[in-house]
Amino acid sequence: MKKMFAIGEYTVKENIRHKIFYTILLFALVIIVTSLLFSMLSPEEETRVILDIGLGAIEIFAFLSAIFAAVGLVLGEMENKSVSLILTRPVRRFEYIWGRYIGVLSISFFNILLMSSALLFLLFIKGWKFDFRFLLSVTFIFLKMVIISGLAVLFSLISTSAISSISFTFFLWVLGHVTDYLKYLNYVLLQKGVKITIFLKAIYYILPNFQYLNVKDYLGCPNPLSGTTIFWQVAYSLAYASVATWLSVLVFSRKEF
Amino acid sequence: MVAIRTENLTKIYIRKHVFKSKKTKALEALNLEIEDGKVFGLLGLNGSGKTTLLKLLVGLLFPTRGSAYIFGQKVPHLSLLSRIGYLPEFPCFLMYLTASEILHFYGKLYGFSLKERERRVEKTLDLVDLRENRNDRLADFSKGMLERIGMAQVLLHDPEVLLLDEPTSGLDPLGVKKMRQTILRLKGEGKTILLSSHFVTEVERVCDQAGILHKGRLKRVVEMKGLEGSLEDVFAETVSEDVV
Repeated sequence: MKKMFAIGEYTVKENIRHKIFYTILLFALVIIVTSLLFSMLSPEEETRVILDIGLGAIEIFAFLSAIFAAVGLVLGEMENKSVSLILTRPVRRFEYIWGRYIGVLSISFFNILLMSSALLFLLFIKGWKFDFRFLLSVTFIFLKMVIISGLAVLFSLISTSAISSISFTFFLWVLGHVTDYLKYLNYVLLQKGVKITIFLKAIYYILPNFQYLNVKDYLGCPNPLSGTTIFWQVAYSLAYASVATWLSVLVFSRKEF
Repeated sequence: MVAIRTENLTKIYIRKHVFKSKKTKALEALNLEIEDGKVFGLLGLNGSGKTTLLKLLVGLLFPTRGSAYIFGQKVPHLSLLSRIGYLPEFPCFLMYLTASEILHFYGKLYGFSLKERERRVEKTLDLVDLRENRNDRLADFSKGMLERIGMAQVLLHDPEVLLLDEPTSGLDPLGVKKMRQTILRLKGEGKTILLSSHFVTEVERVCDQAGILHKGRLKRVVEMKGLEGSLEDVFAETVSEDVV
Protein backbone atom coordinates (compact mmCIF):
# COMPACT_ATOMS: atom_id res chain seq x y z
CA MET A 1 0.00 0.00 0.00
CA LYS A 2 2.85 2.38 0.94
CA LYS A 3 4.52 1.83 -2.42
CA MET A 4 1.27 2.56 -4.22
CA PHE A 5 0.90 5.84 -2.37
CA ALA A 6 4.55 6.69 -3.01
CA ILE A 7 3.94 6.27 -6.76
CA GLY A 8 0.72 8.30 -6.45
CA GLU A 9 2.51 11.05 -4.57
CA TYR A 10 5.21 11.34 -7.20
CA THR A 11 2.62 11.34 -9.97
CA VAL A 12 1.09 14.42 -8.36
CA LYS A 13 4.49 16.02 -7.83
CA GLU A 14 5.47 15.45 -11.45
CA ASN A 15 2.16 16.72 -12.75
CA ILE A 16 2.13 19.97 -10.80
CA ARG A 17 5.53 20.82 -12.21
CA HIS A 18 4.26 20.69 -15.77
CA LYS A 19 3.35 24.05 -17.29
CA ILE A 20 0.30 22.53 -18.95
CA PHE A 21 -1.22 21.84 -15.53
CA TYR A 22 -1.25 25.56 -14.72
CA THR A 23 -2.40 26.46 -18.22
CA ILE A 24 -5.45 24.21 -17.89
CA LEU A 25 -6.21 25.56 -14.43
CA LEU A 26 -5.80 29.17 -15.55
CA PHE A 27 -8.13 28.67 -18.54
CA ALA A 28 -10.72 27.08 -16.27
CA LEU A 29 -10.60 29.95 -13.81
CA VAL A 30 -10.82 32.52 -16.64
CA ILE A 31 -13.93 30.81 -18.02
CA ILE A 32 -15.51 30.58 -14.58
CA VAL A 33 -14.90 34.30 -14.02
CA THR A 34 -16.20 35.24 -17.49
CA SER A 35 -19.45 33.48 -16.60
CA LEU A 36 -20.14 36.75 -14.71
CA LEU A 37 -20.30 38.54 -18.06
CA PHE A 38 -22.68 35.99 -19.56
CA SER A 39 -24.90 36.21 -16.50
CA MET A 40 -25.55 39.85 -17.38
CA LEU A 41 -27.46 38.64 -20.45
CA SER A 42 -30.06 37.13 -18.18
CA PRO A 43 -30.31 39.29 -15.04
CA GLU A 44 -33.28 37.37 -13.59
CA GLU A 45 -31.35 34.08 -13.64
CA GLU A 46 -27.87 35.42 -13.03
CA THR A 47 -26.73 32.72 -10.61
CA ARG A 48 -28.23 29.96 -12.76
CA VAL A 49 -26.12 31.09 -15.75
CA ILE A 50 -22.99 31.30 -13.58
CA LEU A 51 -23.72 27.84 -12.19
CA ASP A 52 -24.28 26.27 -15.62
CA ILE A 53 -21.20 27.79 -17.22
CA GLY A 54 -19.09 27.22 -14.11
CA LEU A 55 -19.97 23.56 -13.66
CA GLY A 56 -19.57 22.96 -17.40
CA ALA A 57 -16.10 24.52 -17.28
CA ILE A 58 -15.14 22.48 -14.21
CA GLU A 59 -16.14 19.28 -15.99
CA ILE A 60 -14.35 20.06 -19.26
CA PHE A 61 -11.13 21.22 -17.65
CA ALA A 62 -11.10 18.41 -15.10
CA PHE A 63 -11.46 16.04 -18.06
CA LEU A 64 -8.57 17.69 -19.94
CA SER A 65 -6.40 17.63 -16.87
CA ALA A 66 -7.20 13.97 -16.13
CA ILE A 67 -6.49 12.96 -19.73
CA PHE A 68 -3.20 14.83 -19.70
CA ALA A 69 -2.13 13.30 -16.39
CA ALA A 70 -3.19 9.75 -17.27
CA VAL A 71 -1.96 9.62 -20.85
CA GLY A 72 0.93 12.08 -20.58
CA LEU A 73 2.50 10.59 -17.49
CA VAL A 74 1.79 6.87 -17.92
CA LEU A 75 2.50 6.67 -21.64
CA GLY A 76 5.34 9.19 -21.32
CA GLU A 77 7.00 7.06 -18.69
CA MET A 78 6.76 3.96 -20.86
CA GLU A 79 8.03 5.76 -23.94
CA ASN A 80 11.06 7.23 -22.21
CA LYS A 81 11.61 3.94 -20.33
CA SER A 82 11.82 5.59 -16.92
CA VAL A 83 9.28 2.97 -15.86
CA SER A 84 12.06 0.38 -15.98
CA LEU A 85 13.79 2.05 -13.03
CA ILE A 86 10.60 1.68 -10.99
CA LEU A 87 9.85 -1.90 -11.98
CA THR A 88 13.35 -3.05 -11.07
CA ARG A 89 12.56 -2.17 -7.44
CA PRO A 90 10.45 -4.46 -5.27
CA VAL A 91 7.23 -3.08 -6.74
CA ARG A 92 4.47 -5.29 -8.07
CA ARG A 93 3.06 -4.27 -11.41
CA PHE A 94 -0.43 -3.81 -10.00
CA GLU A 95 1.03 -1.47 -7.38
CA TYR A 96 2.51 0.65 -10.15
CA ILE A 97 -0.77 0.92 -12.08
CA TRP A 98 -2.92 1.58 -9.01
CA GLY A 99 -0.33 4.05 -7.74
CA ARG A 100 -0.41 5.97 -10.99
CA TYR A 101 -4.20 5.85 -10.99
CA ILE A 102 -4.41 7.14 -7.40
CA GLY A 103 -2.06 9.95 -8.41
CA VAL A 104 -4.19 10.91 -11.41
CA LEU A 105 -7.33 10.91 -9.25
CA SER A 106 -5.65 13.06 -6.62
CA ILE A 107 -4.81 15.59 -9.33
CA SER A 108 -8.44 15.57 -10.52
CA PHE A 109 -9.68 15.95 -6.96
CA PHE A 110 -7.38 18.90 -6.34
CA ASN A 111 -8.37 20.57 -9.63
CA ILE A 112 -12.07 20.14 -9.03
CA LEU A 113 -11.73 21.41 -5.46
CA LEU A 114 -9.91 24.52 -6.62
CA MET A 115 -12.29 25.29 -9.48
CA SER A 116 -15.38 24.64 -7.34
CA SER A 117 -14.08 26.97 -4.64
CA ALA A 118 -13.62 29.71 -7.24
CA LEU A 119 -17.13 29.11 -8.55
CA LEU A 120 -18.65 29.11 -5.06
CA PHE A 121 -16.88 32.36 -4.30
CA LEU A 122 -18.42 34.00 -7.39
CA LEU A 123 -21.85 32.62 -6.58
CA PHE A 124 -21.72 33.94 -3.03
CA ILE A 125 -20.70 37.38 -4.32
CA LYS A 126 -23.85 37.29 -6.44
CA GLY A 127 -25.93 36.45 -3.37
CA TRP A 128 -26.57 32.79 -4.21
CA LYS A 129 -28.10 30.70 -1.43
CA PHE A 130 -26.09 27.57 -0.87
CA ASP A 131 -27.69 24.42 -2.24
CA PHE A 132 -26.35 21.08 -1.01
CA ARG A 133 -26.88 19.66 -4.48
CA PHE A 134 -24.00 21.83 -5.69
CA LEU A 135 -21.66 19.55 -3.74
CA LEU A 136 -23.43 16.56 -5.22
CA SER A 137 -22.91 17.90 -8.75
CA VAL A 138 -19.24 18.49 -8.14
CA THR A 139 -18.87 15.04 -6.57
CA PHE A 140 -20.43 13.48 -9.65
CA ILE A 141 -18.06 15.39 -11.91
CA PHE A 142 -15.29 13.77 -9.89
CA LEU A 143 -16.93 10.36 -10.32
CA LYS A 144 -16.87 10.87 -14.08
CA MET A 145 -13.14 11.55 -13.73
CA VAL A 146 -12.80 8.34 -11.72
CA ILE A 147 -14.11 6.44 -14.75
CA ILE A 148 -12.42 8.37 -17.53
CA SER A 149 -9.03 8.32 -15.77
CA GLY A 150 -9.24 4.53 -15.49
CA LEU A 151 -10.01 4.33 -19.20
CA ALA A 152 -7.29 6.81 -20.11
CA VAL A 153 -4.70 4.72 -18.21
CA LEU A 154 -5.96 1.61 -20.01
CA PHE A 155 -5.75 3.28 -23.44
CA SER A 156 -2.29 4.62 -22.74
CA LEU A 157 -1.21 1.01 -22.18
CA ILE A 158 -2.80 -0.52 -25.26
CA SER A 159 -2.19 2.20 -27.81
CA THR A 160 1.14 3.15 -29.27
CA SER A 161 0.99 6.92 -29.22
CA ALA A 162 -0.33 9.73 -27.07
CA ILE A 163 -2.52 10.96 -29.95
CA SER A 164 -4.31 7.62 -30.28
CA SER A 165 -4.75 7.26 -26.49
CA ILE A 166 -6.19 10.76 -26.23
CA SER A 167 -8.41 10.19 -29.28
CA PHE A 168 -9.77 6.90 -27.88
CA THR A 169 -10.43 8.44 -24.49
CA PHE A 170 -12.07 11.51 -26.01
CA PHE A 171 -14.16 9.29 -28.27
CA LEU A 172 -15.39 7.29 -25.28
CA TRP A 173 -16.06 10.49 -23.34
CA VAL A 174 -18.37 11.70 -26.11
CA LEU A 175 -19.98 8.29 -26.66
CA GLY A 176 -20.49 7.91 -22.92
CA HIS A 177 -22.68 10.99 -22.95
CA VAL A 178 -24.96 9.72 -25.70
CA THR A 179 -25.34 6.02 -24.83
CA ASP A 180 -29.05 6.53 -24.13
CA TYR A 181 -29.50 7.20 -27.84
CA LEU A 182 -28.55 3.58 -28.48
CA LYS A 183 -31.88 2.55 -26.98
CA TYR A 184 -33.65 4.89 -29.36
CA LEU A 185 -31.54 3.63 -32.26
CA ASN A 186 -32.53 0.07 -31.39
CA TYR A 187 -36.18 1.10 -31.38
CA VAL A 188 -35.88 2.79 -34.78
CA LEU A 189 -34.01 -0.17 -36.29
CA LEU A 190 -36.60 -2.63 -34.96
CA GLN A 191 -39.31 -0.56 -36.64
CA LYS A 192 -37.42 -1.04 -39.91
CA GLY A 193 -37.02 -4.75 -39.29
CA VAL A 194 -33.31 -4.66 -38.44
CA LYS A 195 -32.62 -6.82 -35.41
CA ILE A 196 -29.28 -6.02 -33.84
CA THR A 197 -30.61 -5.61 -30.33
CA ILE A 198 -28.01 -7.88 -28.70
CA PHE A 199 -25.18 -6.02 -30.40
CA LEU A 200 -26.53 -2.63 -29.38
CA LYS A 201 -27.22 -3.82 -25.85
CA ALA A 202 -23.65 -5.08 -25.56
CA ILE A 203 -22.31 -1.72 -26.67
CA TYR A 204 -24.69 0.04 -24.29
CA TYR A 205 -23.39 -1.91 -21.31
CA ILE A 206 -19.74 -1.80 -22.31
CA LEU A 207 -19.60 1.95 -22.87
CA PRO A 208 -19.43 4.14 -19.78
CA ASN A 209 -22.75 5.84 -19.14
CA PHE A 210 -21.79 9.38 -18.26
CA GLN A 211 -25.32 10.63 -18.79
CA TYR A 212 -26.28 8.53 -15.77
CA LEU A 213 -23.85 10.64 -13.73
CA ASN A 214 -24.92 14.05 -15.05
CA VAL A 215 -26.32 15.24 -11.73
CA LYS A 216 -25.53 18.85 -12.53
CA ASP A 217 -28.33 18.85 -15.13
CA TYR A 218 -30.85 18.39 -12.31
CA LEU A 219 -29.46 21.08 -10.04
CA GLY A 220 -32.45 23.39 -10.48
CA CYS A 221 -35.08 20.63 -10.19
CA PRO A 222 -36.90 19.87 -6.94
CA ASN A 223 -35.72 16.60 -5.29
CA PRO A 224 -34.04 15.17 -8.37
CA LEU A 225 -32.25 12.21 -6.82
CA SER A 226 -33.04 9.64 -4.19
CA GLY A 227 -30.48 8.13 -1.84
CA THR A 228 -30.82 4.77 -3.58
CA THR A 229 -30.12 6.31 -6.99
CA ILE A 230 -27.05 8.05 -5.63
CA PHE A 231 -25.84 4.80 -4.10
CA TRP A 232 -26.14 2.95 -7.42
CA GLN A 233 -24.51 5.81 -9.32
CA VAL A 234 -21.53 5.74 -6.97
CA ALA A 235 -21.38 1.93 -7.07
CA TYR A 236 -21.55 2.00 -10.89
CA SER A 237 -18.67 4.48 -11.13
CA LEU A 238 -16.44 2.61 -8.72
CA ALA A 239 -17.17 -0.75 -10.31
CA TYR A 240 -16.56 0.56 -13.83
CA ALA A 241 -13.30 2.24 -12.83
CA SER A 242 -12.14 -0.89 -10.96
CA VAL A 243 -12.73 -3.09 -13.98
CA ALA A 244 -10.89 -0.63 -16.23
CA THR A 245 -7.95 -0.41 -13.83
CA TRP A 246 -7.69 -4.17 -13.33
CA LEU A 247 -7.75 -4.55 -17.11
CA SER A 248 -4.85 -2.09 -17.17
CA VAL A 249 -3.05 -4.25 -14.61
CA LEU A 250 -3.65 -7.30 -16.81
CA VAL A 251 -2.25 -5.56 -19.90
CA PHE A 252 0.65 -4.06 -17.96
CA SER A 253 1.66 -7.32 -16.32
CA ARG A 254 2.36 -8.77 -19.77
CA LYS A 255 4.30 -5.79 -21.01
CA GLU A 256 8.03 -5.99 -21.57
CA PHE A 257 10.37 -3.03 -21.34
CA MET B 1 28.54 -19.94 -4.14
CA VAL B 2 26.89 -19.21 -7.47
CA ALA B 3 25.29 -15.76 -7.55
CA ILE B 4 23.84 -15.76 -11.07
CA ARG B 5 22.94 -18.84 -13.08
CA THR B 6 21.07 -19.26 -16.33
CA GLU B 7 19.76 -22.51 -17.80
CA ASN B 8 19.04 -22.64 -21.53
CA LEU B 9 17.88 -19.05 -21.31
CA THR B 10 16.31 -18.09 -24.61
CA LYS B 11 14.61 -14.93 -25.70
CA ILE B 12 12.83 -14.51 -28.99
CA TYR B 13 11.30 -11.15 -29.77
CA ILE B 14 8.11 -11.27 -31.77
CA ARG B 15 7.21 -8.06 -33.56
CA LYS B 16 3.63 -8.19 -34.70
CA HIS B 17 2.59 -6.28 -37.75
CA VAL B 18 -0.85 -6.19 -39.31
CA PHE B 19 -0.63 -9.34 -41.41
CA LYS B 20 2.67 -10.86 -40.33
CA SER B 21 4.92 -11.26 -37.37
CA LYS B 22 8.70 -11.18 -37.30
CA LYS B 23 10.73 -13.30 -34.91
CA THR B 24 14.19 -12.29 -33.78
CA LYS B 25 16.29 -14.57 -31.64
CA ALA B 26 18.08 -12.31 -29.17
CA LEU B 27 19.41 -14.97 -26.83
CA GLU B 28 19.76 -18.68 -27.49
CA ALA B 29 20.08 -21.41 -24.87
CA LEU B 30 22.37 -19.42 -22.66
CA ASN B 31 24.06 -21.36 -19.86
CA LEU B 32 26.07 -19.17 -17.58
CA GLU B 33 27.32 -19.26 -14.00
CA ILE B 34 28.79 -16.33 -12.15
CA GLU B 35 30.36 -16.85 -8.75
CA ASP B 36 29.49 -14.62 -5.82
CA GLY B 37 31.87 -11.67 -5.47
CA LYS B 38 33.13 -11.83 -9.06
CA VAL B 39 33.02 -9.16 -11.73
CA PHE B 40 31.84 -10.61 -15.02
CA GLY B 41 32.01 -8.64 -18.24
CA LEU B 42 29.72 -9.33 -21.15
CA LEU B 43 31.28 -8.48 -24.46
CA GLY B 44 29.55 -8.49 -27.78
CA LEU B 45 28.71 -6.56 -30.87
CA ASN B 46 25.50 -4.56 -31.15
CA GLY B 47 22.50 -6.88 -31.02
CA SER B 48 24.44 -9.76 -29.50
CA GLY B 49 22.00 -10.08 -26.58
CA LYS B 50 23.84 -8.30 -23.76
CA THR B 51 21.04 -5.91 -22.81
CA THR B 52 18.45 -8.67 -23.28
CA LEU B 53 20.24 -10.84 -20.71
CA LEU B 54 20.37 -8.04 -18.14
CA LYS B 55 16.70 -7.20 -18.68
CA LEU B 56 15.73 -10.84 -18.28
CA LEU B 57 17.57 -10.95 -14.96
CA VAL B 58 15.61 -8.00 -13.57
CA GLY B 59 12.24 -9.09 -14.96
CA LEU B 60 11.81 -6.34 -17.52
CA LEU B 61 11.66 -9.07 -20.18
CA PHE B 62 10.20 -12.54 -19.87
CA PRO B 63 12.15 -15.56 -21.18
CA THR B 64 10.78 -17.50 -24.13
CA ARG B 65 12.44 -20.66 -22.80
CA GLY B 66 14.76 -21.58 -19.98
CA SER B 67 15.25 -19.81 -16.71
CA ALA B 68 17.57 -17.65 -14.67
CA TYR B 69 18.43 -17.80 -10.98
CA ILE B 70 19.97 -15.29 -8.64
CA PHE B 71 21.19 -16.73 -5.35
CA GLY B 72 19.26 -19.88 -6.23
CA GLN B 73 15.96 -18.02 -6.54
CA LYS B 74 14.24 -18.11 -9.89
CA VAL B 75 13.77 -14.70 -11.48
CA PRO B 76 11.65 -12.66 -11.65
CA HIS B 77 11.03 -12.64 -7.92
CA LEU B 78 10.01 -9.57 -5.94
CA SER B 79 12.24 -10.28 -2.95
CA LEU B 80 15.29 -10.53 -5.23
CA LEU B 81 14.83 -7.01 -6.51
CA SER B 82 15.94 -5.60 -3.13
CA ARG B 83 19.25 -7.40 -3.61
CA ILE B 84 19.84 -6.22 -7.18
CA GLY B 85 20.97 -2.86 -8.49
CA TYR B 86 20.29 -2.24 -12.17
CA LEU B 87 21.75 0.46 -14.36
CA PRO B 88 20.22 0.63 -17.85
CA GLU B 89 22.28 1.76 -20.81
CA PHE B 90 20.37 5.03 -21.06
CA PRO B 91 18.93 5.69 -17.62
CA CYS B 92 15.74 7.76 -17.82
CA PHE B 93 14.11 9.35 -14.82
CA LEU B 94 11.08 11.36 -13.83
CA MET B 95 12.78 14.50 -15.10
CA TYR B 96 10.74 17.04 -13.15
CA LEU B 97 12.09 15.75 -9.86
CA THR B 98 15.31 16.86 -8.20
CA ALA B 99 18.24 14.50 -7.59
CA SER B 100 17.31 14.19 -3.94
CA GLU B 101 13.61 13.66 -4.67
CA ILE B 102 14.19 10.86 -7.17
CA LEU B 103 16.42 8.98 -4.73
CA HIS B 104 13.89 9.50 -1.93
CA PHE B 105 11.22 8.13 -4.25
CA TYR B 106 13.24 5.00 -5.00
CA GLY B 107 14.03 4.71 -1.29
CA LYS B 108 10.30 4.68 -0.54
CA LEU B 109 9.88 1.79 -2.95
CA TYR B 110 12.33 -0.20 -0.82
CA GLY B 111 10.29 0.67 2.25
CA PHE B 112 13.02 2.73 3.95
CA SER B 113 11.93 5.09 6.72
CA LEU B 114 12.44 8.84 6.26
CA LYS B 115 15.49 8.85 8.52
CA GLU B 116 17.00 5.89 6.71
CA ARG B 117 16.27 7.47 3.34
CA GLU B 118 17.91 10.73 4.33
CA ARG B 119 21.03 8.90 5.46
CA ARG B 120 21.22 6.78 2.32
CA VAL B 121 20.44 9.63 -0.10
CA GLU B 122 23.15 11.84 1.41
CA LYS B 123 25.68 9.02 1.37
CA THR B 124 24.89 8.03 -2.19
CA LEU B 125 24.97 11.60 -3.49
CA ASP B 126 28.37 11.95 -1.88
CA LEU B 127 29.59 8.80 -3.56
CA VAL B 128 28.70 10.11 -7.02
CA ASP B 129 29.78 13.71 -6.32
CA LEU B 130 26.31 15.17 -6.69
CA ARG B 131 25.75 16.55 -3.20
CA GLU B 132 25.95 20.12 -4.51
CA ASN B 133 23.27 19.37 -7.08
CA ARG B 134 20.88 17.60 -4.73
CA ASN B 135 18.17 20.22 -5.23
CA ASP B 136 18.60 20.64 -8.99
CA ARG B 137 16.04 19.16 -11.31
CA LEU B 138 17.16 16.21 -13.37
CA ALA B 139 15.88 18.00 -16.48
CA ASP B 140 18.78 20.45 -15.99
CA PHE B 141 21.40 17.72 -15.62
CA SER B 142 24.08 17.00 -18.23
CA LYS B 143 24.42 13.50 -19.69
CA GLY B 144 27.35 12.73 -17.43
CA MET B 145 25.41 13.87 -14.35
CA LEU B 146 22.47 11.68 -15.35
CA GLU B 147 24.83 8.72 -15.63
CA ARG B 148 26.05 9.50 -12.11
CA ILE B 149 22.53 9.74 -10.73
CA GLY B 150 21.96 6.44 -12.52
CA MET B 151 24.81 4.96 -10.53
CA ALA B 152 23.45 6.57 -7.37
CA GLN B 153 20.12 4.79 -7.76
CA VAL B 154 22.03 1.51 -8.17
CA LEU B 155 23.94 2.02 -4.93
CA LEU B 156 21.08 3.47 -2.85
CA HIS B 157 19.96 0.18 -1.33
CA ASP B 158 23.44 -1.36 -1.10
CA PRO B 159 22.66 -4.32 -3.39
CA GLU B 160 24.61 -7.57 -3.44
CA VAL B 161 24.36 -7.99 -7.22
CA LEU B 162 24.90 -5.16 -9.67
CA LEU B 163 23.77 -5.38 -13.26
CA LEU B 164 25.34 -2.59 -15.26
CA ASP B 165 24.45 -2.08 -18.90
CA GLU B 166 27.22 -0.18 -20.66
CA PRO B 167 28.16 1.79 -17.54
CA THR B 168 30.80 3.85 -19.33
CA SER B 169 28.90 4.72 -22.48
CA GLY B 170 28.51 8.44 -22.98
CA LEU B 171 30.97 9.34 -20.23
CA ASP B 172 33.96 11.61 -20.73
CA PRO B 173 37.45 10.19 -19.93
CA LEU B 174 37.28 11.46 -16.34
CA GLY B 175 33.81 9.95 -15.93
CA VAL B 176 35.09 6.64 -17.29
CA LYS B 177 37.94 6.69 -14.79
CA LYS B 178 35.57 7.42 -11.89
CA MET B 179 33.20 4.68 -12.99
CA ARG B 180 36.10 2.24 -13.13
CA GLN B 181 37.16 3.26 -9.62
CA THR B 182 33.59 2.79 -8.38
CA ILE B 183 33.38 -0.69 -9.90
CA LEU B 184 36.74 -1.66 -8.42
CA ARG B 185 35.67 -0.33 -5.01
CA LEU B 186 32.46 -2.36 -5.20
CA LYS B 187 34.47 -5.40 -6.25
CA GLY B 188 36.61 -4.86 -3.14
CA GLU B 189 33.43 -4.86 -1.06
CA GLY B 190 32.63 -8.32 -2.41
CA LYS B 191 29.74 -7.39 -4.69
CA THR B 192 28.85 -9.54 -7.64
CA ILE B 193 28.87 -7.44 -10.79
CA LEU B 194 27.65 -8.33 -14.25
CA LEU B 195 28.39 -5.59 -16.70
CA SER B 196 28.01 -5.31 -20.42
CA SER B 197 30.34 -3.27 -22.51
CA HIS B 198 31.63 -2.53 -25.95
CA PHE B 199 34.95 -1.46 -24.52
CA VAL B 200 37.18 -4.51 -24.35
CA THR B 201 39.95 -2.68 -22.50
CA GLU B 202 37.56 -1.57 -19.75
CA VAL B 203 36.36 -5.13 -19.28
CA GLU B 204 39.95 -6.31 -19.19
CA ARG B 205 40.78 -3.79 -16.47
CA VAL B 206 37.95 -4.46 -14.03
CA CYS B 207 36.60 -7.96 -14.64
CA ASP B 208 37.57 -11.37 -13.30
CA GLN B 209 35.88 -13.12 -16.19
CA ALA B 210 34.50 -12.10 -19.55
CA GLY B 211 31.83 -13.77 -21.63
CA ILE B 212 31.74 -13.23 -25.35
CA LEU B 213 28.23 -13.15 -26.72
CA HIS B 214 27.66 -13.35 -30.42
CA LYS B 215 24.30 -13.49 -32.15
CA GLY B 216 22.63 -14.49 -28.90
CA ARG B 217 25.02 -17.33 -28.10
CA LEU B 218 27.69 -17.43 -25.44
CA LYS B 219 30.75 -18.25 -27.51
CA ARG B 220 33.44 -18.23 -24.89
CA VAL B 221 34.13 -17.46 -21.23
CA VAL B 222 37.57 -16.05 -20.60
CA GLU B 223 39.38 -15.97 -17.24
CA MET B 224 41.35 -12.75 -16.92
CA LYS B 225 43.88 -14.33 -14.63
CA GLY B 226 46.53 -15.96 -16.72
CA LEU B 227 45.10 -14.72 -19.98
CA GLU B 228 47.72 -14.96 -22.65
CA GLY B 229 47.56 -12.15 -25.15
CA SER B 230 44.99 -9.42 -25.09
CA LEU B 231 41.27 -9.82 -24.56
CA GLU B 232 40.74 -7.70 -27.66
CA ASP B 233 42.45 -10.37 -29.78
CA VAL B 234 40.43 -13.14 -28.16
CA PHE B 235 37.25 -11.18 -28.76
CA ALA B 236 38.08 -10.42 -32.40
CA GLU B 237 39.04 -14.02 -33.01
CA THR B 238 35.86 -15.37 -31.40
CA VAL B 239 33.54 -13.04 -33.24
CA SER B 240 35.26 -13.41 -36.61
CA GLU B 241 35.18 -17.23 -36.36
CA ASP B 242 31.48 -16.95 -36.79
CA VAL B 243 31.69 -14.40 -39.58
CA VAL B 244 34.07 -16.61 -41.58
